[in-house]
Amino acid sequence: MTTRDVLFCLLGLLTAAAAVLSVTSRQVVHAALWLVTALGALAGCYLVLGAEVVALVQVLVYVGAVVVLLLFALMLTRAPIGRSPDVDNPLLARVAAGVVSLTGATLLAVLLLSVVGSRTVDVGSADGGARSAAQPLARSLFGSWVLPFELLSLLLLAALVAALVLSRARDRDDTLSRIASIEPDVEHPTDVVREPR
Amino acid sequence: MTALASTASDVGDIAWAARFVVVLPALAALAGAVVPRASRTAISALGVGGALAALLAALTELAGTGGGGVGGVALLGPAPTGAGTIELSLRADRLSAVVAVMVCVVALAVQVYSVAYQCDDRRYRSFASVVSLFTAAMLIVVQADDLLLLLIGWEVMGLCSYLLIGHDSERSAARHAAVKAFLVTRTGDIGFVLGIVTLLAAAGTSSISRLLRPETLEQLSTAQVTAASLLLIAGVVGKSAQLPLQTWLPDAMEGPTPVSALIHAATMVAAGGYVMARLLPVLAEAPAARAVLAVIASASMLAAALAALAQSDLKRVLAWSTISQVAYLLAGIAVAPHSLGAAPAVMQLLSHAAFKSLLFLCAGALAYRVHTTAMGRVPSGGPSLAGSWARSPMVSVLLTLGLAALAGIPPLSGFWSKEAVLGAAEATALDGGVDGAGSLVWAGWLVLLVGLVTGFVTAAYATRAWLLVVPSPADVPAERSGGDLVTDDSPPAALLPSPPRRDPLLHLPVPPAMSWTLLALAVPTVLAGLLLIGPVVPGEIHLSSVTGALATTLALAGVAAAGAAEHLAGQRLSGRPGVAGAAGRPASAVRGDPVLVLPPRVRAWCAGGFGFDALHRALVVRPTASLARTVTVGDHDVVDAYPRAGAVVARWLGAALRLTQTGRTTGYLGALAVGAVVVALAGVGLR
Amino acid sequence: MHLWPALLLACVLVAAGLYGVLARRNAVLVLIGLELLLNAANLLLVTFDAAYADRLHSGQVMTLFVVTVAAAEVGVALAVVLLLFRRRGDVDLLTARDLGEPRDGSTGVEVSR
Repeated sequence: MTTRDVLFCLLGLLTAAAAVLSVTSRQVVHAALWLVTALGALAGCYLVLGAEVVALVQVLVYVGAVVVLLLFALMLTRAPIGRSPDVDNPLLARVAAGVVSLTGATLLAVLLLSVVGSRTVDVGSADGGARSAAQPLARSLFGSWVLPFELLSLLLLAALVAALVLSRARDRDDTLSRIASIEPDVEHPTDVVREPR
Repeated sequence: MTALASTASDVGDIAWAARFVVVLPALAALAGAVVPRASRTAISALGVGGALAALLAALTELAGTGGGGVGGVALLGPAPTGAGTIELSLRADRLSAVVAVMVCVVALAVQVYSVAYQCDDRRYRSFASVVSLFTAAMLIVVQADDLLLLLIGWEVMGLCSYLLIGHDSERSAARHAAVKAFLVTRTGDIGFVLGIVTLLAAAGTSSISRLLRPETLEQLSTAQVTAASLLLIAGVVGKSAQLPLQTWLPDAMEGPTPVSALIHAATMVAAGGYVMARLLPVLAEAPAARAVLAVIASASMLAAALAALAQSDLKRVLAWSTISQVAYLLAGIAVAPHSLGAAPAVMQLLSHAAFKSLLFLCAGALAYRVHTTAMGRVPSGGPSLAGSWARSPMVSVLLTLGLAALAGIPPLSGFWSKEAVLGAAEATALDGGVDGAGSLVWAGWLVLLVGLVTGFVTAAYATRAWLLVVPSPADVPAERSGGDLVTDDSPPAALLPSPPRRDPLLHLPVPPAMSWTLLALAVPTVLAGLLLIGPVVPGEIHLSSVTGALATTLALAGVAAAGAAEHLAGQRLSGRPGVAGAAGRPASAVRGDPVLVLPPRVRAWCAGGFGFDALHRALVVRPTASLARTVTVGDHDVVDAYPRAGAVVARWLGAALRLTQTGRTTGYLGALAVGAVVVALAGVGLR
Repeated sequence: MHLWPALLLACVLVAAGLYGVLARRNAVLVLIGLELLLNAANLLLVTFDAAYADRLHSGQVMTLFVVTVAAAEVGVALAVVLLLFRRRGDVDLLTARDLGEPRDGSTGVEVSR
């Protein structure tokens, strides 16, 4: 047991606990905040594993952007403050969900541990940990992986446009509105899919 | 019976005559299809010509078979089948020649009569053709030397009977009567076909000549012969309208009167008796079958005579009377001793053909002017045949002649033929049975006694018919107004529902085509007794003076009883309160219906045919209808359920699948998760 | 260092994420579960990259890609959630059954015969 092991175990415990709490908490905002903890601790795990750039990106993007987005969404959808019983599915569904998740996870664990469970990793020994530094990573990223990188930027553009279009407020004379015209009907929710105009 | 004729040329002549007898009417029938419908002269010429040519051929055949007969005359050549070769051959001997002559005479008479009677028939062409076809079929039955050829003629006769009874197909009563006749005779024909098949299987040959040889008959076991005979008797019971299959004949009177004269008096109903006469050597080996036939014939004889007593329509009286007289014929077959052969039955066949066809055609001639065959007083006040003497004296005289022959008044033909049958019965009863060994003695007594009683009843109903048709009726006011009888030549107040054949020009005399035919038929009616003298009828006749005297006395007693009953009924009517003797007529001039002396329930039971229609409906019609309903329900609910189930199952599957489309995102995600786990497991496991 | 803690942690994150996706009623909380699942995948990628240290840095690069895709996905998903909220007034997934089939077989859409 090296120092890395201990450190990793501590951070891993934190991540696990935060993750479990975030999915079981009855308070919505707490769940989001526990997610922050989990993602942050995970970044720490990445650091222990020697992937510094990834850890940084994790913090920047996940903790900084994604969770903030989630919090905004919670705010805009008038999430209940305090304990709310409407946050979880009925008991039977929860039990089933628990069974499914435990089964899946167990199977995955069995698979992984039986194949590579006994390996040990020498992090940052031969090249002094310089492998995961920014420069070699960037060389790889913008060299061998440039094409997927560009595709991903296209994906981001598409996602940006989609999000804009979907969340735009309804405006009668607007072309975009006509293309994606769906009536907001807060007062009278219906069960029938109405035909788009 | 199978002795060859003397010279080869005679054989050739007789053979050709036999062929012509069968072929010429058939050709006339076929030619009727190409003759134009509009030219009535051409159609009449074809019909009458065909019948005349057949008659000439039959007379040639009769002249040629003086000594013996010829068997095995090839008609169409041998027919090879899987089991062997069937020779469709004809037989020309004395029996077939005599009966063929009779059939041709009656057919000719009917064709000539129809020229006048069917003058306003739109379908005269088909009428004449089907009558020719029927004649050909009957002649095939008469001349057949092969069991299968016999069967062919038998079935075609049934078809023609159906077509002719339903000739006025616009009337639903005619259509129903035709179907009823067809179905009831068909039921009997089941037995007939089975009987022929049994004979075929037992004897190994379909040739009648070979079948009737003593050596062939010895090979057959009693069980086989009895079974075949009983089955053939079933067919005879159907076609000859004996109990219990007699229900079709009274209703068959819906057909035109010439049809009734030809088919239901002279030929088809007697065809069964003829077949029995032809196959008498086979029947002789089966005393049990003969006993059954004797019982059926006796029962039919008496029951039909009683029913004829209560009918109100002249043609129905004649129909029931046919049943009764044909029963005499069959009784003659059943109890004739071996020495006499089929002669008594053939004698009855010939004389019945003569006087019954005369009677039917007279009824037609009388009804021709009044458009109805109702007798006596009609309750609704419509026209009836009563008072025919005033309207057509000549036809009334011929009708009287025919009724006297029916009643068995000597010296008319009916007396002699009845005597032949009763004499044969007496011979069986007194001299030791049909084979001299004592079997069927009781049958002889049965036929003798029932025949004598039936003679009494026959004379009674014949006299009643005469009283209700010929004399002018006195005015008998009805309880309700408007019930006057039609008298003299005044036109009828209202026509009956039967379709008027032409405009009511009642003052025209009977057309010569009809009157000459009637006169021609009156000759054998009177003179047929002379047949007993010469060797015309094959076999012997035994006449007994005791039976003859008894029968005559009973006949005269029947006539007297009917007259007395009429007087009694008239007295009852005039004695009723509320009857204003019109213009003070004396009570003795009031005429009543003789049958009214019988209690009303007996009367109704007799008139309704003893409830046999209801019996048939309960035993056959209802089970068949419910079976048909069951089959329909089975087809709809059981067999059709499978294709329909396809749609239902598809809908159920759709409903089941719809249960998964809940719309709940969580559910879909769960399904995804489980699916992913399963696929991963499969991937790992299968590797 | 040993690998098994990392692998075990990834499995725990998978369990938590799967539970969050299936057991939560609020749409945003379901997205939280989804994020955990993605992070479990990321952890596995990084772990194996550290273990096998290939020249292309495949594990780390793909982790970055997953993070990007996750960010894009969260953006679009939350736009949809906002639309759902505007339409119905809540983001309760249990009652949002618009895309389901009615039980009686009718499609709910008028069809001219």
